[in-house]
Amino acid sequence: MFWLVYGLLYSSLISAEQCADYNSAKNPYFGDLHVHTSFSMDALTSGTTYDPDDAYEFAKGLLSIPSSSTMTGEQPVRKLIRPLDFAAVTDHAEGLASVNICFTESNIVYHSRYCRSIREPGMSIPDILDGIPAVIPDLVRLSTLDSPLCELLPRMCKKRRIEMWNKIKEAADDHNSPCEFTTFSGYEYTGLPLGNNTHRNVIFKNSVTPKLPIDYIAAKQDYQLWNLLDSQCTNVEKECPGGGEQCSDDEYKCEVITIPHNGNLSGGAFFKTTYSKISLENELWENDRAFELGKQRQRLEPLFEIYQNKGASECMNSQADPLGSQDEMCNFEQYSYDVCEGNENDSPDCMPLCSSLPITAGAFLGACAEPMGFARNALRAGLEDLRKSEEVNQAKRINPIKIGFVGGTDTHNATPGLVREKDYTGQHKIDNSELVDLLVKPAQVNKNLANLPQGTNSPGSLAVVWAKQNTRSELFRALQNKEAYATSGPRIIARFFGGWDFPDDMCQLDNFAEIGYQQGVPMGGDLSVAQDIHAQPEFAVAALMDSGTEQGPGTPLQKIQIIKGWEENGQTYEQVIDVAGSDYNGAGVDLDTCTTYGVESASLCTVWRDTSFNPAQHAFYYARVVENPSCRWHKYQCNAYFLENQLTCDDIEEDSPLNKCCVADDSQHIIQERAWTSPIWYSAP
Amino acid sequence: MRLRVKSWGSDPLFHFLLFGFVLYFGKTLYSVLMTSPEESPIVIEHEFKNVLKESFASKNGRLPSTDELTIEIQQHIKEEVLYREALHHRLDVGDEFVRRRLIKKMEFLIDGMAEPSQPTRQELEQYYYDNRTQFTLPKRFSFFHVYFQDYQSTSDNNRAERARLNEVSVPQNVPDRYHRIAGDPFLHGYYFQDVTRNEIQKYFGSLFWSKLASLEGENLWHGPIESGYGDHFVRLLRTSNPELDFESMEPTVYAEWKKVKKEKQIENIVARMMKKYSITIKQ
Repeated sequence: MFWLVYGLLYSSLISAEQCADYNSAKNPYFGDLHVHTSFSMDALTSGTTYDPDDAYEFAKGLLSIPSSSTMTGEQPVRKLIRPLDFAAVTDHAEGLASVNICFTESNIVYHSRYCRSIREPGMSIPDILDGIPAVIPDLVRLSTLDSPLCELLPRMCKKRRIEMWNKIKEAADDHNSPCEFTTFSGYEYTGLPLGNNTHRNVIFKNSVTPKLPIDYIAAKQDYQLWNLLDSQCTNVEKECPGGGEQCSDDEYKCEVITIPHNGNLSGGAFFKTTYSKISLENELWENDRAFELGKQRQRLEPLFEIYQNKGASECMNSQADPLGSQDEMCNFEQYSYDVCEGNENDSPDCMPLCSSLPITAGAFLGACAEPMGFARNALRAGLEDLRKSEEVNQAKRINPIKIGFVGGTDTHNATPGLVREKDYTGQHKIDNSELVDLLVKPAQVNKNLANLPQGTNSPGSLAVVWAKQNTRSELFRALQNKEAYATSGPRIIARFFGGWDFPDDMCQLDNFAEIGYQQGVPMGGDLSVAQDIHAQPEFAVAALMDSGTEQGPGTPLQKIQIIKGWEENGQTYEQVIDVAGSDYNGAGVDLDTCTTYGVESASLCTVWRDTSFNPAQHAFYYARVVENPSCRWHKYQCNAYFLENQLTCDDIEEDSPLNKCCVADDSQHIIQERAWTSPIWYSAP
Repeated sequence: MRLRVKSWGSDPLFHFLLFGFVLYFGKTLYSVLMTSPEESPIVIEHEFKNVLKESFASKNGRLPSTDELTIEIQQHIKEEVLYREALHHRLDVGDEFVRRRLIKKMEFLIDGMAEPSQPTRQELEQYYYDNRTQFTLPKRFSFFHVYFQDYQSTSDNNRAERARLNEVSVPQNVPDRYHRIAGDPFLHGYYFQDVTRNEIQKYFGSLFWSKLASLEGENLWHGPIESGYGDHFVRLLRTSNPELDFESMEPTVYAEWKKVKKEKQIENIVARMMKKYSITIKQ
């Protein structure tokens, strides 16, 4: 309550736009742009009762949400030890009307079969929609929710949707407090063409938005979504009630970005549907349509959610796919496991590459996987597109896939920012019952479409934004400019600049960041053209470990890597370079107690020069800051469970889900938390 | 339990409908609990047939035939029987999902019932003076720090370092955030102006914050203070605890007054309800 008063007070004090912590060299702000509450059908039916208002209270560290788990978490209730600096509630746009109508007893449709069938908590419901088999999980059905209801009762449906959307916007406005805590109105577009995930969070700068969220029912293709957002938001001239000068763009202009997530479950659909690769390609490139689409995409989709509850989407290892990676650090919170390599070592049950199937379908359910859906591999495809567009028309060349990175939790418990491994007791309320529920079905999803793999889920990540101060306009601009990064949970600080001539001793100088801005570009930027053919770009990267909390210190850093992708004769390549710290620092974790040991680097910093740079090749660079090893969430839970029940691994039967606690391969119990900076691009002239 | 203000909770139409529902539901529940299930008749109203028709149409894209409607009605009756049997056997009791929904509903209702009257200006002003501590901004700190990555903390070293730092001239007025006085480079800078607890915890961690908060003596070098990153000598320039007059914050005081009043009313309503129950907490 105190903080609410304080927030109100403080915001009333600020007449000029400058906050106390204003910093022209920018501050890092931590947040979560992927949050579901009881306004999302799948959250509501699995028992979440907390609404958008509650989610924002939680983000500010003011609200405790009890966990119904019997697991021995460190905290019996969920509460943020460290408040977030910003958040956006992003409930599913599809089903908003049903959430309202089917859960309001006074509504006449409440008793309809449609409503009754979706009201039952967490169970698989037979044939609520024709043609969609009952075995398909709730989430899949979600993409078409509302549509039968809205066809039948269009006016009621629209009214209820507007009502719900306004409530979401009101909650965001109520909790936005300049200089202290920033909120954005938003929703999730829940696209699922052919069972491939094309979910996107749509984030608005303020409460000037379209009347209704544009959902998958209205826009089946990504460019349709952007066209509608342009026509109902970006291109709308909002009339200023006070006339001319009184209205700043910050309050009266509709601005929007879309942030795709779970590329790992997209089968590449995010980046493939309208550009290059499979369909329409020649026609598209020749008549400038691709150029226009690419420009629109660059403008409206600057970011990608690189890691969340349903796995990481940085990169996918594959030798069979030309865009595949070979980088063991990609094996972090992967949903795609045991992917077929097309050789004799393949197991009979291996997960096929989507491109090896006659039609890419069901990637969301684990039917196939594709490197093209992952950030790094998609960035490479972007370089290929750039080269290809140049061949058609140099004047209209375009790299349509220029994405920076942010994180998010995808919580369905209205618990934004709850990312500590120790705190994880499931992402849906219904998960939070027993440890075994979270551990079951760790693999082999493709054998059973009805069951998503809970054991492979994890807490998700945070978005970090570099901005001069914590206001909507500064944060939103930073998001548009991709001056943002993601951490897998810990509050790692990462600075990343690219330029042509940084001081060699930049890391020893007082003002690393100021030099970075003066003599280079920050993450998300573009390097200027090389001055001569011998020029080599430099990258200044600095990182600080998580500063820790009263509950304990953060984990020290192990290394910083720079990932370079480049294009050469129409093909793309990638390289991972360790630029600071080392794998061989002897750090480790005691799996029985989850205590970490070894060399401790509180900070790492270096200026790295790309000596193999070729000014004629397009390239991108991003940094990955890696912590020393620590326990994965399930190990904390397993240890607590075994201790409480006085069990050892000898007591566990072979077919018990608890066997996951006892896997002999230590690497399955260990993770290396990390931060991924947005890339810096170089486009050859 | 703290009840929170919901915007739709104040919609009169919503209350009306909800009240209607509660009356209806309460009556049904009462009759179900008070009579054996066989005694309470199941009546399918004519209007309800339309609902069933709509539901059928949404599934099949056409209206049901007479036979089909009969099947739908029979199905509904079967379900109604099961529902009533479930209530009769009190299967809703102990179901956390049902319980939470019902609690939420009561909260909405009670929330609408509590509506404080308008306060006079004197009342508000009195409230402001009685609760002065609430209407202050959090303490802000302005300080320089000198960071050492690998520092050997001994009392001799510390004394010598503090003495050395006292000799160094420190810019006053509004110094540059990235002006390093001594020590190792620190990514977030060296001078922090008017920062709050949250900001300090973000940049230096909780350990550092708890020590900084207890420092006394401005314009002196203190330390070293430990953080997750190493050791810091700190020179506190000033701390401020801003307080505001009533005029400039009347709207905030009103909002807070209203909230507190409302919470109190809600508490009273719940307390009255509690009186109806005999409550025993066993050891």
